[in-house]
Amino acid sequence: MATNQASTWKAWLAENGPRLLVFARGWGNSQQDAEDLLQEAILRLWNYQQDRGGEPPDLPLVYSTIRFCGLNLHRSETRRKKREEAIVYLNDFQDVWLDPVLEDDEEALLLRDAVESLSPKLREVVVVKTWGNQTFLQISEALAISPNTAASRYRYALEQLAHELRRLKEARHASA
Amino acid sequence: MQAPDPIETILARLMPPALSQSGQRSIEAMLDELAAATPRKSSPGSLKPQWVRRFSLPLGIAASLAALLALVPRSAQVTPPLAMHHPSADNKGSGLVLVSESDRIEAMSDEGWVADPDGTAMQAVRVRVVEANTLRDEETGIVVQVSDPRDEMILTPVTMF
Repeated sequence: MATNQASTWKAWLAENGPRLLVFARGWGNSQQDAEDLLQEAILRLWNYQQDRGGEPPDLPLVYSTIRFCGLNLHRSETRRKKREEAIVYLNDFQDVWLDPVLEDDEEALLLRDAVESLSPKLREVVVVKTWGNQTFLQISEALAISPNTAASRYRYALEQLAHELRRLKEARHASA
Repeated sequence: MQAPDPIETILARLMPPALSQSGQRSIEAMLDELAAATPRKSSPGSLKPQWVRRFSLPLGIAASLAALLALVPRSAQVTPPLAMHHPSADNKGSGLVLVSESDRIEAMSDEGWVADPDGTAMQAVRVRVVEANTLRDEETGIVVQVSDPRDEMILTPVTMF
């Protein structure tokens, strides 16, 4: 029974891991941080679900738990950053939130940068809607906002992304 | 049907990366450990209804407090808010007789959630306990009460949040 439960959760993780990871990226500085955050959320959810039959949870609950863990992490991270301001980190690897489906998709790569630079409130709605495939009602449950707020934030985010994409394209053509 | 926004079309050409191998392994190992540590349930039908689970803990605490209060001797001169009375024991070697012995909870305060070293969320409750021993000197008949206050922190794993 215990083995079956672990297998069910692993299959659930394999199906949903990437979409949860990209949401967790909003709270971590690196993919490693995001994976740690996801692991913490899964640990909490495992214990929570034991009283409810032990099945993997619905995605809105997972998103809200990641958000809760992220807020805790953010508080401790702020304190840590103050201690480590003098240290310079050098990364020789590309640590990105999203990958283009096709290589050399310039437009998609530009938009990826624009998504990363969105404000956290707008970005989390875009991430949950686009890669989490959640409705505005589900997003409202996950992020503790009204469905109308979720929809308006999404529309506003798309406008900002369109504006930023135009700006990045113009800047690239000007420098070419 | 509404045509997708051009930005949505481009967003669809991006996909989230998979978890790293080490990250995936770490979470899967954790799931295996959790599954191994999970007690086996007898049958799904034996699950208690939600309201029973919600009220069982407070009712249990209330029943325990009632039982403890019933143990307090009614003839005691000072009635503590909550006390655990222990049978008295003579200490004849020193000429002192232990008349009564009790642990009294003076105050309780909710300290919120804390994380234990494993990262598990725990509900913390700070309890101020006063241990009071009443002694009588057999020669002089003087009765002395010795109080020893102490703070205790009770941690309970949080399974619902």
